[in-house]
Amino acid sequence: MERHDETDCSCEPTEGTPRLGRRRLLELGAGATTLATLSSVMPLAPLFADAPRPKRYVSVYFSGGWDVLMGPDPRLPGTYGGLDVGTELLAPQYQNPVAVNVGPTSTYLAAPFASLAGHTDVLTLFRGVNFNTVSHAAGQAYGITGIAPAGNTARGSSLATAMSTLPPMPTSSPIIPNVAIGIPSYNSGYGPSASAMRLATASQILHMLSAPGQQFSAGVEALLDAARNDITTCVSPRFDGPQLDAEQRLSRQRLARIAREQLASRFDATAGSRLSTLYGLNGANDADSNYRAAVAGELIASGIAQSVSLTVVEGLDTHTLWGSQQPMLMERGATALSRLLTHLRESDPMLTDTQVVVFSEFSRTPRINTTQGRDHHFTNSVMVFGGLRPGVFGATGEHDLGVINLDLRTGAANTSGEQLRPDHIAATLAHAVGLPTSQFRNGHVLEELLP
Amino acid sequence: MAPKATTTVRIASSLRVGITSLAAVGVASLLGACDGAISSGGERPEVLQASAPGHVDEEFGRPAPMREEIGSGSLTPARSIRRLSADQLARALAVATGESWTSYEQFADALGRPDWLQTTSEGLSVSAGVERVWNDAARATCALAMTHDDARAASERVILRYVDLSHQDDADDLENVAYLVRRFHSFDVPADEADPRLVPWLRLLRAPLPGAADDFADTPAERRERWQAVCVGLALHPDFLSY
Repeated sequence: MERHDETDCSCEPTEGTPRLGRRRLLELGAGATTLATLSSVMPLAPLFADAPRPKRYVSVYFSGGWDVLMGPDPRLPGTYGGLDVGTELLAPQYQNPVAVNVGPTSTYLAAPFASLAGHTDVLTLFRGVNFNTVSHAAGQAYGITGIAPAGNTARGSSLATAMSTLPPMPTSSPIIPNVAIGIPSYNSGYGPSASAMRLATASQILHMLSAPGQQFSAGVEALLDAARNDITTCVSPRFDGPQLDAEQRLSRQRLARIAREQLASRFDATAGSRLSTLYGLNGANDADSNYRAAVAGELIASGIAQSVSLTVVEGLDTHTLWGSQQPMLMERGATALSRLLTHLRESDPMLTDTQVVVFSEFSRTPRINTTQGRDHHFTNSVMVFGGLRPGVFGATGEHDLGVINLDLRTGAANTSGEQLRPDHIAATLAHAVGLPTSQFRNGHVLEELLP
Repeated sequence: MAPKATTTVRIASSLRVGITSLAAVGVASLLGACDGAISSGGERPEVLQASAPGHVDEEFGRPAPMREEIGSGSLTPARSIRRLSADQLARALAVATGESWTSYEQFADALGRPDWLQTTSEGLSVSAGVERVWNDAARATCALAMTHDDARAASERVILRYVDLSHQDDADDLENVAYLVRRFHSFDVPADEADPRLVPWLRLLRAPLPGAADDFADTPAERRERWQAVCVGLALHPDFLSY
């Protein structure tokens, strides 16, 4: 059988830098033309990022489509023209939103999100974000990449992948820059070091940080390692993605360092351990949102990873019996998130070097259906802790939870303005750390939110 | 009704010819495969010759469709090379080693298999996680294959097809490494000591153990361990992980 047999394998990618492919060249050409045209009519400062800055990044996903009315965009009990608050379906402790100050803005969070009140000083809350889909896969891909997907298929790289290419914090040297726990990760054009270590469950980190089973004697292990270093492969020149042998070599180096430094012990979740105290744990339990948050927090706080994505809670797709399910699940996710923020703020109190982005794939309908559930709704919210100017940006229709046009310089409602999209948020987050923003074609940097 | 009946007869006739032809190809394939040799040439079965360029299909009275030459190896690749998907990896490993990895379901997500609930696309990147999990898979299945080889006749062994652990023989080692490269990577490599596709594995078999008191103990147990390591190395090779 004939196999690929090219021998020129010298084309190594530059880590952290998108490869200069045809599309990239076209983008650069188009960008130069656009700049020349725009420079005479508008200031160009937002288009130019500073040099990439060290940053830690966490992406927290509420899976299934959260109800923003039960979280970041609540309504006070009452009667609304196109919206059922559903107060009568809620347990008493969930009926009244809590007043908070988000930066300079006084607003409310729903009762299940009350535990986040201690972190609203570093919160930038985006409301009325048009995710433009009611498909789980499409909304998830949009939230992960900040780029509108092609159907249900993600386009571009995860924002978390891009963030993992930033320079590391001065005190850390990430072994696994990018980790994804129970959530997809995309790498389209970044070097091999940016590809996420993907874990199906949080506890798999313990397996990943331990030595492989069926170990040979030290001598044979050394010979096997030497043989793997000596191999010739003909895969790389035409490989569709970061080059395979380079990725493998880097992965082996990382695993060797993990073994040397015995990092698994940092994730001890048994009663009395440091993580159990911080997160209220009693052992490693993958169904526990707090445990997932603890693994993510420790990966970042210890400097093992620079960018972590995780599904903190799932099961939010409550088409029936919304009142008896959605608030508890939202509370579970928010509590874990709050503990994660507390953990990260131990080393970075104002999250000046940390971004924590919280999203779900879409929201739920303002009306309650005939089975006492809420269905899929495209008007969403995104929460960003750290890295941007705190405050509330954007709004939804008070009576219908609809998308409204905004003045994107201020975030205030403006009928002649534009709709807020995930692209705007992603572009702003990327720009704030010095990453390019040209891939976010349906959005631009929200300059007012830059720190 | 008459034209319809004629058409029906023709279709039935075509189906009969097709089924007969397929049966002929199947029998020919089986006969050819019995000796385990892979032939790239030789005389083709009649059914294929009947569709040679210029041949006129008797039934329809028009030239039969052209067929691509088989096995020329000169076709330009039509797509990029990709990493095997998680399922493909598991199946390929089962074919190469003859053993299934029992922990596959537990770690399929880490290898990139979509769950079709939260994830709908195959993960095809190689990360430290994939390397770590694939290491487990290779080591587990290679260990099983070696164990089962102990109970097999030489001609049925998967890893130790041409070697006998009770004594070391350079020529046998070379032949067996070439066989394993063919088995794992589908390269028909000549048994040449200098072939770069074989050299790393021959070195793994023959080099002194780093740090060992006596350079090369050359015991059956040590030879066994080295062959198992060759199996693991081949299963972790980029040529195994891609297609």
